[in-house]
Amino acid sequence: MTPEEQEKLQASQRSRNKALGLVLVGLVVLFFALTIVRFPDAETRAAAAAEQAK
Amino acid sequence: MITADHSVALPTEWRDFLALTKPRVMSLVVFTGLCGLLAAPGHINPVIGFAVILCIAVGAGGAAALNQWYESEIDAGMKRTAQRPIPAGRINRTNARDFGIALSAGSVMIMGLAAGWLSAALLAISIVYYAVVYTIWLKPRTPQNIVVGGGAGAFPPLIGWIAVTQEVTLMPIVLFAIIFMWTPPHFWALALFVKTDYAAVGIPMMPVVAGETSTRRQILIYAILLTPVALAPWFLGGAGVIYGISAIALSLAFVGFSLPVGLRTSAVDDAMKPEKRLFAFSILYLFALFGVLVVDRFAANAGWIA
Repeated sequence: MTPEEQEKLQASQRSRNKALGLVLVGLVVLFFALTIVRFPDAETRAAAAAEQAK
Repeated sequence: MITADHSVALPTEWRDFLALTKPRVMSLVVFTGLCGLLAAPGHINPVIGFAVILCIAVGAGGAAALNQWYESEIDAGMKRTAQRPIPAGRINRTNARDFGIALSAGSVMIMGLAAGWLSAALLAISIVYYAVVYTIWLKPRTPQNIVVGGGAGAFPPLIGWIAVTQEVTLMPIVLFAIIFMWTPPHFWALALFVKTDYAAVGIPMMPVVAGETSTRRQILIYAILLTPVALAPWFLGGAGVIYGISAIALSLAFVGFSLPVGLRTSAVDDAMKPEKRLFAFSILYLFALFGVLVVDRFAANAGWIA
């Protein structure tokens, strides 16, 4: 492998890793936001607790 | 003498993975899905709404990747598709298949967690419908393949709507039917003026199998049948007068553009002007119809109309 080819290979790997990294960060943010949004409010939690107590 | 190729195979670039998801098709999918979501009665948290649209888009991308995985040999034989990542050798088939499966499974999972398992099940059905029923089973077998394929493109507004209401009602099914009836005239108009080499690779496209005259007649028939379907949301009370009047005007124009296409025959070296006009208008038609459906809902919510 010539040095130029080596460099090309590494540049291509870097850009691919960067893209994958962005996707993973995006997923983390999405799951965090979904968790906050879907977390049951006090009313729902009270209802669930009452259900369990029965 | 050394004849072996010592050049290094570069790892697949992320752009090729992106190309595998057919981003341009995705834009229509995102738009109709978003319109279904916004036109539905009720409220959805914006974060969940975003996740729903994202899942619809990624699911469509996964199905598109599986489609290209299965059709890579066919694509290699046609000029229009020979430069896609798999036939051009920029990505290997197994990686494309795994990428498609990962996107499909991931989008269904996240859809289920974000918006409930009814929406997730519908997304899964739409992916299987496109990647298996359409691509593997019916596309190579019947000239009605575009009619069948239209069903796959018709899922997004239905999924978007049901993600809000959490139940299957008549309105989302009508939205499905609108795109289903719209696809054949839209695609066959294109097939008439783009001379693709489907015949060479054994895909039975309508103009190739049934001939131009029959295709033109069927374009007109679908355009006429589309009109009552497009008006159905108004009759059913799922949309108001803004939608109703716009749908009448748009549908009349659609039939108007289809008439010259349906009734004429092309000459040698024909410029195919009416076909190109119909194709261009068909895209405008769908965007306008769904856009107006959302405007109608917003107007109703704001109390401007009854």
